[in-house]
This record gives sequence, structure tokens and C-alpha cells, in this order.
Amino acid sequence: MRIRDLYKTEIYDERRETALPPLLLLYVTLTYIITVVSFDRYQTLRIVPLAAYPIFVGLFSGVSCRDLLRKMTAVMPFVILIGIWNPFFDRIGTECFGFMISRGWISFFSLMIKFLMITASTLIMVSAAGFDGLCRCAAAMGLSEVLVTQLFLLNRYIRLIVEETHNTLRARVFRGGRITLSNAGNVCGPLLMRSLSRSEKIHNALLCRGFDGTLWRGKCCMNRLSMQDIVFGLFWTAYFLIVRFFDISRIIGDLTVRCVI
Amino acid sequence: MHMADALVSPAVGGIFWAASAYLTAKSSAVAKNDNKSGGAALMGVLAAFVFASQMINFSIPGTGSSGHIGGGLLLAILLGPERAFLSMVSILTVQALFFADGGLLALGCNIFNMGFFPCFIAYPYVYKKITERVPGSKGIMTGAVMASMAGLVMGAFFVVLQTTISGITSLPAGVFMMLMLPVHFVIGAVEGFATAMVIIYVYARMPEVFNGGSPDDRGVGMKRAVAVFSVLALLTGGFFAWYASSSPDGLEWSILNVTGTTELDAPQTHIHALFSSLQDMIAPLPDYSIKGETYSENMGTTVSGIVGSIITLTFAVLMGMMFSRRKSRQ
Repeated sequence: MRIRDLYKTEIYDERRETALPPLLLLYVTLTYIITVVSFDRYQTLRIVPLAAYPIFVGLFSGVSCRDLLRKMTAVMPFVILIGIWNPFFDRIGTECFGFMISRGWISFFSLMIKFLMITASTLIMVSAAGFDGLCRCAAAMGLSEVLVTQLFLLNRYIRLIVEETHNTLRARVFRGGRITLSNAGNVCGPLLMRSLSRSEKIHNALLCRGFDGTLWRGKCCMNRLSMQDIVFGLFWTAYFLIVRFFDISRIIGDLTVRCVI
Repeated sequence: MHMADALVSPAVGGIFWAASAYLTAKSSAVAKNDNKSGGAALMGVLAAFVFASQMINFSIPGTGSSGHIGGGLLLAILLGPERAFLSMVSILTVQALFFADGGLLALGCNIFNMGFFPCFIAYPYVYKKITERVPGSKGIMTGAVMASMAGLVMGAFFVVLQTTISGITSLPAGVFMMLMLPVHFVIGAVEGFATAMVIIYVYARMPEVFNGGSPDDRGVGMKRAVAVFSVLALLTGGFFAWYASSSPDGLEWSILNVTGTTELDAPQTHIHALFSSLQDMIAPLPDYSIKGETYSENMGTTVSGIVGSIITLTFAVLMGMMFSRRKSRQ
């Protein structure tokens, strides 16, 4: 992960005006992920209609496609590393567009499509609901206060510490110092000590503001569902179920070809 | 080593979600009872530090590769196992949500692989034991390297198991392990060395920092939970490693033994029958033939599938654009 990627998290800071409650987005995204991964590894074409959900919500919430792709390509190598062996070990042939292709390639493409669709839907969910919104939603669902406070604090201080790390590295590089394993202590040690003293200052500041272990108060009003929200949730749940149990792309394709011919 | 959602099945993801949720609840209870002054701020800032420091890659002389400090182990040394585990949960959640490094369904697997092993196994049973016997920098160095290797290799072993049981890869479990374990053994040594260097540096200047990780502070409930999960991990590892290597595609093997075929028929419900008859009625490619020309089964399915997919996705794009415009007008 590169440092400049971290600075791009600003796009997730503010909740976008999608008017969709975080709880609803979390529910639909989780249902979506479970639906996608429940498909067999050879059912490549049957998964494709499920791309409708990230496309729709992505456009609706105005998430940058470029930013999504950049984040997805950064984490893609591990998935490729695991999937790329399928064509070598699964050599049973099958026909596709009149060409013979091994089932291993089909399962590899299926894996990559699943990865892209799931990753996009998760990033869009965070972008649309906002990290604070998701944390409040998790707290309302009964996640422990300690962990929710920890998530809030991490989200607040991550950029602060990264900036300090960035400054330390830049100062070292400008002075011609190389960062090697033998000087790990000299590079990370001072950074750790500064982080520790900073945590003391933060703790004192929190105590001055009456901090008693909880960073939020009251019930989460962002999780109230309107009729439109319920329709949104029911529509996508029904769509995922239909795609899961019926070959919807083939049915629509057959219908279209019949009308055209 | 972050597992993506696409690499786990719902069953495997669900099981590890439950295990991680249980450990998180237990750790939260311990952290809440242990009313340590400044604990919340310390956890938040140290988690941010680990996040940031993992981006500093140290070049390893003579190899051309690089490594970074081991997050789980360092946190366990500074905060104690429970608080370190909670910090790892927060780090992995942020990585999954902000950077797509991991995933929502695979979060349970990632927490178990990268949080449970370094915090609850490697730290108390490897690092602590070694530093108790070997004092000073030598003990810290040996303990950190050994604990980091143990934690990382156990995590990598579970990545192999989770992926193989999920049926995602065609790679036989034995070959997969041979690819993953030696690499993580070396990475573990590098991470352990870097972590030890940082600990030695800070220990020399701020020794009072290192009093957070006493395993004696842990409640009986937490110890029991760790013991149960360790035994389960061992049993699961032992059983599935044997099962996965002796029969690479376990699910098909089971179905073949039960039904005599490797594929199951679709359920014959009323809805299935209705849609099946509807499909037969409207299908322009009955038996995959157009105007007397016989197409292969795959070709017909592929053409229909592609046409259908394009239409569905175009519809989604149009709907998204329509709602987006409506929203901006409002």
C-alpha cells in the first residue's frame, strides 16, 4: 500500500447525499456478497447480471470510477496469484464461442469477476454510507463500545500518524539516508515514541471534554427506514434471489433474440 | 496475506465470522474491565502507527526484496493480547473498507489469521516464554523473530485451508502449502527482525512502556476461549489438511459417493417448473438451434447469456443515471 493511497481517503470522509441509511446499505451489500460468492466457480456468465448493483449504486452515489479501479488494482495481485494456477491444474476442456477452452480459465475469469464486483460494492458502500455512519450503525446493532471507539479513533488519527511517517521518511531520504532492515529501529522507534506521547495528549484532551469511554451519544437516527428505503432493500434482495436461482441473462437473451429474429 | 471475499465460500466466511466475533466480544469484555488510564487513546494511536509503519518497507540487503514490522506482535507487546486483538480488528476493518484489502465476508478469516495467531498464540506462548528465559536484547530479538515466524506461518496455513475448503482454487492443498509456507517463513523472520529492532530501540529509551502485556491479567474466560480456539484450529488444520490433500475436490467426491453423479439436478419446485416452461415457450433456440442449424449447447448458452447480461447491465446504467439526475435536480 502506498502512502499517497492513504491521502485519497478524503473522498470517504463525508457521507454522500444518497439518502440511503447505512444499515440498509450494509444489509444489501452483505446480501450481494453472499449471493456472488455462492455461485459455482464455472458459472462465469451467470454472475454478470449481478454487476447491475454496483453499477447502479455507484452511479447513484457518484463514486469516482477511476478511484475505485485504482484501489482494486492495488489489491488484485494476491487474488491473481491464487487464481492463476487454475488453468494449469484444471485442464478439462469445454467449448466457448466455438473454441475449446480449459475449465481452469473459466474458473479464473469467474474469480476475477467476483473479486471486481464484490470489491467495488464494498468500496461504494463505504463511500455512500460514510465510515462514521457505518460505525454508528454497527454500534446500534450491538457491536462493543470498546471496538466502536477504537474504530472512531483509528479513523481520526490515521492520517495524522501517516503524515508524521511521511515527514520522517522524507527527512531521511533528503539527508541521503537509506531505509534498510538494519536501521528499522532508528526509523520506526522515534515514530513509535512520538505516537505514544501523542496518545497521552489525546487522552488528556478527551478527559478535558468529559470522555468516559464512549465517543457518541443517543440513538442512531440514520438507521430509520422510509418506505423508499424498504422498497430499495426488497427490490435488490428479490433481484439477487432471481439471479441466483434462475439464469436471468439467458432468459432475457432468449427473449431478445426471439424478438429480433 | 489478506483474503478477498472472492476467495471464500459463504460457509467458511460465516464460520470464521462467528469465531472472530466471539473472540472480539471476549476481548472487549476484558478491555472494558481492565480500566487502564488512557487505554482507548493508546489503542487508537498505536493502531494508526502500525497502519502507517507497515507502509515503510525496509530493503533487505543482497536480496532485492523488502519487509516491514509485524503489526500484531508489536501491538501485543505494547498493549497486551486482548487490546492488541481489538486493534488488529480495527486495522483489518479499515483496510477492508477503505482500501479493499480484504473484504466484508472474508473479514472473519482475516481477523482470525492475522489477529488471533500473533496476539493469542505467538505472543504469550512464544515471545513471552523466550523473553522470560533469555533476558535483554538477545531475548527480544530471538523472541520477536520466532514469534513473528510462528504467527505468520500459522496464518498462512489457515489461508491455504480456507481457500481450499471454499473450493476456489484448483491448486492441490499440498502444492499450495509448499508455495505459501516457505515464503511466509522468510517474511516472518524479516518482520520479526524489524519488530525486534523497534522494540529494542524503544525499550532502551522508554522501558515503562512495556508493562501492558502481562498474560496474568487475563480472565479465566478469555484463557478458556483461547484454549478452545487453539484446539479447534489444530483439529481443523489436521483434519482438513489430510482431507484436502487426499481428495482435491471434496464436495464433488462427496456428491459422487451419495448420488453416483458429480452434479445434482435442480430442485423441482412449482416456481422452477413455471420458469422452466416459460423459458421453453419463449426460447428461440430450442435445443440450441436456429432455423434448422444446430448449435452446440455451450454456444447457445453463451450467446443468450451475453445478450442477457448486456441488456441487464445497460438497464442498470440507465437506471443509475436516471436516479442520479433526479437526485441532483432535487
